[in-house]
Amino acid sequence: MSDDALVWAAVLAMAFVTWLTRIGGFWLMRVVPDGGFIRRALDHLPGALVVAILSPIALEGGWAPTVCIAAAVLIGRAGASALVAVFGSVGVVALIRLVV
Amino acid sequence: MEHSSAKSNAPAVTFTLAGARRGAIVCLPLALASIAFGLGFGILARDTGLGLAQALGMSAFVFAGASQMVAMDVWTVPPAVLGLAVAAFAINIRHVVMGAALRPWLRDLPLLQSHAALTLMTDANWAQAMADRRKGERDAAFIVGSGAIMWVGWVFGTGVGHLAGGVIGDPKAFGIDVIVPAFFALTLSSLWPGVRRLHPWVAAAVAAVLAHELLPSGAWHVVVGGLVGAAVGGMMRED
Repeated sequence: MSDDALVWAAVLAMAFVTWLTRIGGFWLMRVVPDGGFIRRALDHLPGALVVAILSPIALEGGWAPTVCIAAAVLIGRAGASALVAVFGSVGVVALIRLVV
Repeated sequence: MEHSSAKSNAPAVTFTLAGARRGAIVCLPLALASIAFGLGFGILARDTGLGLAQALGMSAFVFAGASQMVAMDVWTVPPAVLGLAVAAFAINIRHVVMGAALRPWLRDLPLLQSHAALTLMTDANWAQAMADRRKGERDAAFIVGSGAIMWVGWVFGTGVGHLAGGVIGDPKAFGIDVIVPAFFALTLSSLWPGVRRLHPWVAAAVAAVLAHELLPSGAWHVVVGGLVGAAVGGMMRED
């Protein structure tokens, strides 16, 4: 295959395995019995996943993500919409970088 | 637990245009973030030597930012197809866990509808959908609408980034690198279970940080942390 064809082969291979991961959980849960432990674990999965995404970023990413996380939660808790909270907290970080 | 008791008499799951529109509107900030990240990927792809069509094709078909960025990092000429596919699978394996969490929502829908939602599922609109589901959202097209608007932003950003190349300054000056933590922090704040039910989160955080330190790079820490946190939650007594 030419280099160009190999690039497209790589793109399609990545796309295919990524799509398999997207639909895979749905089908996996079909063979896992419902109720009890699995049911309760599933209820806790969303929060646990987001915590897992965030904690290394907050711990190892320096001050910027930590400040941003705090600002986003505070602005959100104050009743602002998600759009305002996300871009407000990002703006806080951009402002600090401008000043420091 | 209020979540499981509400489930028995929950209204039926729907799949409507109105739901898709709600998802698109709620996730508009995410679509703007997608444009910003797409810009970053487009610039990176150009640096790596991908043509405009190839960069656009990767964003359109793969539609998973982290794995695409990593692919650019390990890219060779000619590309190692198998290695790239394995890396993409490892980084995106977290989707399996996310899709599993969506099953209670999607299982009663026709396959075409449930799989449209799964195909457009990303970290961000998944988290948003899970949070909105707690607040009573029952329309699965919410995921399709939010995913579609993020897809448009991602592909558009990729194209602009590739075309603009090195003209744009340091994206960090605009705080583009902290959009993801900001967004996830908000999601988390809406999922807050209360201090007395926090142990799944603590377990997830500890496991994720350890896995991040010990395991090869990729997104394994997300899978490990998510599973450990969910398992601890599964062992908790209902009260």
